Amino acid sequence: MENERYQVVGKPVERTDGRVKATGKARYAADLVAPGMLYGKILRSPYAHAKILNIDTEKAKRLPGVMAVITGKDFPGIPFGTRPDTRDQLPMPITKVHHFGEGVAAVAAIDEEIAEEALDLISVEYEELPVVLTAEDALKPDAPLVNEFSKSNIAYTSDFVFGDPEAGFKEADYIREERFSSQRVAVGFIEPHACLAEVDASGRILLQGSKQSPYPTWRHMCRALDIPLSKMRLVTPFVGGAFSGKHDPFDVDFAAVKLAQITGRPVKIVLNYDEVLAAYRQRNAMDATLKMGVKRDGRITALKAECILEGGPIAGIGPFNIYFFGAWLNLPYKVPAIEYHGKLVYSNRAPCGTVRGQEIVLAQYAVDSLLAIIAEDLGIDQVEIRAINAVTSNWKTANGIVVDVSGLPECIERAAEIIGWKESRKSRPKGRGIGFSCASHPSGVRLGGHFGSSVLLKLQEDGKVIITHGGTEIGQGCNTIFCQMAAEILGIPFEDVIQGPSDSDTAILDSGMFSDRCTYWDGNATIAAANDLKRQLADIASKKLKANPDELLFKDSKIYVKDNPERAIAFIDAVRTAYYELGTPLYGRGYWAATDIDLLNWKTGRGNLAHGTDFIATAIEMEVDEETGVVRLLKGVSGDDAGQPIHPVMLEGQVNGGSAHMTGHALLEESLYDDKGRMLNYSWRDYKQPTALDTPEYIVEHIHTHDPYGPFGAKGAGEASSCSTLAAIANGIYDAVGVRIKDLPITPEKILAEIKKKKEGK
Amino acid sequence: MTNLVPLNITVNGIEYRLYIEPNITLVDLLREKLGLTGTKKSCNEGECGACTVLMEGRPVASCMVLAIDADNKKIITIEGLAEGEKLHPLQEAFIKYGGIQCGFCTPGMILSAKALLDENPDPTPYEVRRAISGNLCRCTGYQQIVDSVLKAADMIKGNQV
Repeated sequence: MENERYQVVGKPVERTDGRVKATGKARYAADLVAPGMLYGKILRSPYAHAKILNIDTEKAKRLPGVMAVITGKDFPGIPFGTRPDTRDQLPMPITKVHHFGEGVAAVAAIDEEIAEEALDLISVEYEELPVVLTAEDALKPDAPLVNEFSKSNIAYTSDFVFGDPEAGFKEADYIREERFSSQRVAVGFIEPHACLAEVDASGRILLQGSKQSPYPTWRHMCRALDIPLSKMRLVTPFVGGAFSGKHDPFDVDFAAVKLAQITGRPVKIVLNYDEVLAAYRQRNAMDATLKMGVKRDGRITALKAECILEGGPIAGIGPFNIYFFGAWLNLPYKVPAIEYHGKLVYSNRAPCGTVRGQEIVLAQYAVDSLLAIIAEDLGIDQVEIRAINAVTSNWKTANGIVVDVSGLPECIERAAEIIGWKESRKSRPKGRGIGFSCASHPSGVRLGGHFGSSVLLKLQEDGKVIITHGGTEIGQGCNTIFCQMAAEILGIPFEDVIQGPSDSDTAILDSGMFSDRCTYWDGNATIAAANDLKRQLADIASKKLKANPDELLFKDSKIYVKDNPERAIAFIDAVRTAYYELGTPLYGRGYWAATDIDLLNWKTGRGNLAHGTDFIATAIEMEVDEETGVVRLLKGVSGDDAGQPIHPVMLEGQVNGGSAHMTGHALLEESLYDDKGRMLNYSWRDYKQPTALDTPEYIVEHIHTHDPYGPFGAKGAGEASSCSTLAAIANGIYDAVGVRIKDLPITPEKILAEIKKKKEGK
Repeated sequence: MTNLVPLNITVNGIEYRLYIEPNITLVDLLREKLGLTGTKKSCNEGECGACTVLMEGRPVASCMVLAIDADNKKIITIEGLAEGEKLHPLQEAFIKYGGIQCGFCTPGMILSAKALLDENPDPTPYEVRRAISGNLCRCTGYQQIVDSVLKAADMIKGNQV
């Protein structure tokens, strides 16, 4: 019904990048070439923690074909970081290495073989330091310090109390406390990190890299290179997946730029995937204890949570992670009172960013597992306990988040119906189970004053619009949906809006592709830009039609007077008038920031920090082999409230993808380290991501709502689905064979051990 | 310097006579020497499937094949599937039914699917999943890729009627 209102929005148009990707013509960073291009390689540390006593690059420099060799000392030594109070990393290390595989030197040569050979000629003198491997290690009173810019191994904390938890626990009829943990996992995009850096005759840098959030990359790089922002331009080619693993600048980017500056020639660095798995972004390891109080009917009265995230040697975006874990315990269930204590600690494992769904994934795993345990204890139906607690529209959470619209009750109902929950309670084959979990995710948060999105539309004299936005096409389809939105507002065909380059010289203000913010924030900026153009065209048309500009409608490539479609001019005629009669080019400028919501108060944790909370209820049916412990996922169903679907097929793909991604986290994936902090499984032979045989058949049911602030009523998508999968699997395994695994990943070994314990009567 | 060796190879119907380093892999030959960058390279150890091409109609991880082992062989890469502007039904279906997101696994995925449909024009969903199980995708969760391959199979059958 809603869809009838729109011509382009809500329709499965052909994605703008479909053809180039299907034919192999899409260019990714590794495909780029430039005249005179050199090839860069990075030398990596064999130690997880060691002083760098000396790096001798002389022999390498003398190798014919080598054009430059750099180390951390070639950079100005200015630390950068996500927040002003967490500037704790350097482009490349100077005094010590912090994790296995950290880059310590880089080479540019005329071909890859020579560059490789040159790495062997660099000699680094290290002095090994004791390794901080776990959160426990990090918090020991005599623990060695991991990060040279911090006087403590605690990188960030987040503590808050909302409502009256003490009263809430008193009021409770039943209280249960459990401890949950989650492992280190890789991000798992398929395209390894890669970039091409060039420096022009004026010294201005052009960096084309596989970056998902060019704005923070640009700002952090300029800071650490000690150059003004105007000295650097970022153009982003197609990105082969990101999932929060490509936000910040890496040694790859810094080294390519520095080598290009020194040699005066373009430098390309493309990593091999083993380097990515060993030394780049992973998800924090989690150790959390949750205590929940409920009434006899299952209604939550209070929640207390403590969480420690072990995050590697830098804070990175960890401050957000540790805050988010606590903040999002306030959703998707009605929690009247909450106490939270979170710590992010440094360690000598690979640096963490986050992974799809951020640490809401982990919070939701813990909450929904605990809720399932409590339901079991009290004999309450799993669907029922979720329905009782589900957040409804016009709800304000204890920490101040205002939920305008919640489709969660319907998501739960539909997911239960489609998976056949009620029937399964009557009978089901041995070893079969269904697990439930719900989740919520913000449509972009306002974590800083400069969080915003910008879009520029250039309406050309042929009536076609070129769109440049600050978002990045990382596969989620943003290039397509912004074209849809602009076409809808201007009343022109989808094909008449053309995606321009992702270029910092035109549009860039955009805090990045995370937190499900792209559709929502950049979408609203697109609408603003299209309305800006529309105003200019309406001015022109109103004179021709002798009508009030406010009365004009834009539809079917025409501009006409409302209620009188006969009084019309063609869209193209208004455009031509601007260019050929008035000499006016047509640009639409749009920007959007949710300035009406709170800028998060990091000290108190209070704030209405996001509009457009999206909701999901996931049910997964599985079979657990009691002899082998092997879990086979049979069918997944998600009822998903992403507001108004802008592109239903792509939206479905986002939900599918988010869920499948976390099936790996739940069952298969773990980045393993030895006691010296050396990673053990940095190849896809040993690090197992889900294949098509590991993921279930998946059904997505859109629960169509209308968000009052979202573009066309849309909310974010793609990350909520990753937040509801871990607990759905853990709960399903319990449903199937009656064992509860609280430390991820849930391997066959753990299941068998628990089954054995259960058989032996604990 | 290494001695160059002669190679006679047909890629996407075009015959090449080249002199190559004996240790160059097929993926590097395609990407670096022939400029066919549609074939993607990621793990370089035959695990991810991004570099899948068809050699004599069979899917191979081109990072695991020495170019000299492709001597006198016919190779099909993603660039060789469309006929001019007319896309192969697999390409059309992947675009239409959500089989493509970031696109990095797409070339390899489509070629694995082509090898399947060439041999088995009417696969079950499980057979599709098995055929693409050597191709990692992190974006889609595979469901829409499976849907796309099944739709392409329908389209191909329709065309043959």
